[in-house]
Amino acid sequence: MLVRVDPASSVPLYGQVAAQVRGTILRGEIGAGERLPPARELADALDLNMHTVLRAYAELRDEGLVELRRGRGVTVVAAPAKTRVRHLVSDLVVEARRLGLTNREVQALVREQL
Amino acid sequence: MNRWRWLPVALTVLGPGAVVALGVAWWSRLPEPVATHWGFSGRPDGHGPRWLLVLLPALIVSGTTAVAARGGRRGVRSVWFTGLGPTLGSIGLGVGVLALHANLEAETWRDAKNVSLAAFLGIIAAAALVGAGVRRAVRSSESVRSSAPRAAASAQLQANERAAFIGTTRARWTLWLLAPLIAVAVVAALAHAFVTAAITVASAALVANLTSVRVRADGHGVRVAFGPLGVPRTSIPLNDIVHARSIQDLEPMEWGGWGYRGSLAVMGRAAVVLRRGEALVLDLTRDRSFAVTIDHADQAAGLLNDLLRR
Repeated sequence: MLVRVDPASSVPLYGQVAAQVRGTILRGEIGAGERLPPARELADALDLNMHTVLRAYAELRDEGLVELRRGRGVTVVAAPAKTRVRHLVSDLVVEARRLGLTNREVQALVREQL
Repeated sequence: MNRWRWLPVALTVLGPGAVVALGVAWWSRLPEPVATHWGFSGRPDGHGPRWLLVLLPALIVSGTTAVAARGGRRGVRSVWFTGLGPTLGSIGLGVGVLALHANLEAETWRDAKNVSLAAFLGIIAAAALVGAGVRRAVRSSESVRSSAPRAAASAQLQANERAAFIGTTRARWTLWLLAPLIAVAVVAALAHAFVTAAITVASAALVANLTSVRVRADGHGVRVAFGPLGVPRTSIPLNDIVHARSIQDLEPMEWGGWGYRGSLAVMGRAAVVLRRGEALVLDLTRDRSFAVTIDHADQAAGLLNDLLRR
């Protein structure tokens, strides 16, 4: 797993790390069930604060891509790509409801894109 | 061909050759059968025919040399002839002379002189040093660096960027070794063969530590951690690296086998080999080389080369 960050970028560091690791997971370079490197190690390697990496990992956990388990570290969930899309769909549905769209309207919009 | 090339060949051949010559010279002064095995106490406890003792070092060395020569790949031959061959030749010489001398002027094999374990271990240690020294002498007098690759791997690191590569590689086949080892250990313990059990458990621990390896490449250099616990660790500072490349076809026999092979300090060449195939190869300062089998070695190599260019 290759992770690169640009301190000069306007994107916050934790966001960059999250994006890099997310890409690695979705490309399948890390398999389901495999462990991500410990936050301390990745932080040390990139010369970052450990909490920056922890925040990135937490974001990935909120997206459902990884799970944090005591003693097992941060592991990639099964079928990460599907899980990711499922999360996006859920976000989509929540937002559509908030804006008052009907189910049929949402389905039509999705079909437009497929 | 440099002038040092004759040295390893000579040592490989002369050792067993000297034993044969000595055996012939002393033939009539040796009992038949001769003592061929000594116990921990140093007293002879095994015997065999005279001709076998005289010829054994020669047979072993020529047999293994033939196998190595037919190994085909240049790397295997190189490692054999410059290091292992002289080591084995020296062991053959030392052990052969020791055994022949012990049997000299003995009435029967039981009257052979004692051979201490210390003497035996001393020979092994001396032979290892001879092999390492010869290999050093040969290597320092020739360039073994392979020709530079056409296009050096690069990860296209931008000026402001910081990057790190962390990769874990597993060797599942080692797990298959663990089950029988543990079974043997349990059986031995139940049979009160505790020394055997302890040795088997130690072997199992070593094998278990080779089931996975984590490699980290960043601004500090390359760090390799073994096993599920991440110890032991070995690191190579970035300053020691001249060039990094990834290969798809690492052959374990070219680097001495599986596991942690070689030593950078003594042999100038070391490798962590869990399987054949994709690996990261580092060309180091002082004509040394290091290889480790990892997936996505191209990412690591590219990153290291970019960091070296800075």
